[in-house]
Amino acid sequence: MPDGESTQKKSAHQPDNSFPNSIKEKELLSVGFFEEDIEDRTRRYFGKANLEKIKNSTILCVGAGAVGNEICKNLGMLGVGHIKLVDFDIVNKSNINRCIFFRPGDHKNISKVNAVAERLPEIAPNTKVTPYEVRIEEAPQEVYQVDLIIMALDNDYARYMLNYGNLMQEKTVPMINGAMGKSFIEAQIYHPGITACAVCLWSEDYYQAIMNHQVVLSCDEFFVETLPKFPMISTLTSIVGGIMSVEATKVLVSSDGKGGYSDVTKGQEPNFGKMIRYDLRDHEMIFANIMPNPKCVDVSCRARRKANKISDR
Amino acid sequence: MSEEIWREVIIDVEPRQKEFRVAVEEESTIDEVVKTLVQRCIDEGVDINKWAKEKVGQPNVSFIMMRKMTGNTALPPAATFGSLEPALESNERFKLDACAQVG
Repeated sequence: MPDGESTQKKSAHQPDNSFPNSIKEKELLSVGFFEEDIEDRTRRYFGKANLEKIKNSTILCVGAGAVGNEICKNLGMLGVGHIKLVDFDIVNKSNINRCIFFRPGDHKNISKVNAVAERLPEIAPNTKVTPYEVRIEEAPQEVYQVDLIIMALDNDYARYMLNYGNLMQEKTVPMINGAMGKSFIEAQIYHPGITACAVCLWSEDYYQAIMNHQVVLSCDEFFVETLPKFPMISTLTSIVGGIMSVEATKVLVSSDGKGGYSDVTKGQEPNFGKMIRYDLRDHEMIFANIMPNPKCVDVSCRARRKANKISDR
Repeated sequence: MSEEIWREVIIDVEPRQKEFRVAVEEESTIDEVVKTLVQRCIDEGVDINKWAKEKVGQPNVSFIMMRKMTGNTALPPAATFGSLEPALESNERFKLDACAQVG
């Protein structure tokens, strides 16, 4: 490389502090050896120690639909070591417009979790996927032994059950929820028992409506309820999946491995108790706090927050 | 002599295309105000439930109230206006919206 060009590149890197100190400038500018390393660019982004944390982490992703596919794609490519994937459903052709791991030939032939488990290694060979072809309320307790829970669900009954399952564990783990509406997406980052939980924003009436609706569905064995299908495209799922994955890496790299979280790397602090809403109509983004509910419909949430406050004193 | 209103707040409700000015008491809960606004919309002929269902794609909708002054805070239904921190000021702005559910 000519000297002038080298100096130009050096000065271009000087104001950028995003690269960890462990990577020498010589390494940043060199090519060849690093092109054979699947983790090279990720390591340069997170740093060696943080990437090791990601590689050693296990996550639970509940839902293997549109958002679940995006999460598995992103976290797999980022190098997450183990993904426990829960979903009872099978692949339909109508899923394919927004799910990267599904193929037309999968139509009613393969479960969503098995389709992802089969194809994720093609792009993320170092990520182990354990599929659980069940509803979350029927999943074994081992699914909760993870570093992080991703809520990639399409209904609030399952959200309630997953939130409840986490709150029932001896130690709760952080949860990231994501969902889409018409022209907007939202994601929330919870650490139940410390911050608000996934149902803290529910009213008592809404909780009752969700439970009653579930009873109706469970009695609907012969008369399958036909709800109007919601318009959904891959661009929305990519955005929400991307935001959730960013927040997931913050949780994983800031973990001290003992249940605590510290801001080890500037810009990688987890956003516990926060909500991100993005309106695609006018590109308005809201980064909001979520106030914990003093009368949360899940009593374990209230009890755990109270116990944590007492132990902090 | 009429009793003094504790605080008056301004709430943006998108389908109505016009803000509500609502007098609240210290003990008023977020849920009470949400229910009042939903009913007011219906009384005015604004089908807020239909708007919300179409927005989130589910038959049951969870409404959410955002406090704008604090750089946006999502308020839980059981919280009272008197419990908000920092303390509520008159003419503060809020927004009523619906929560996304489909993932």
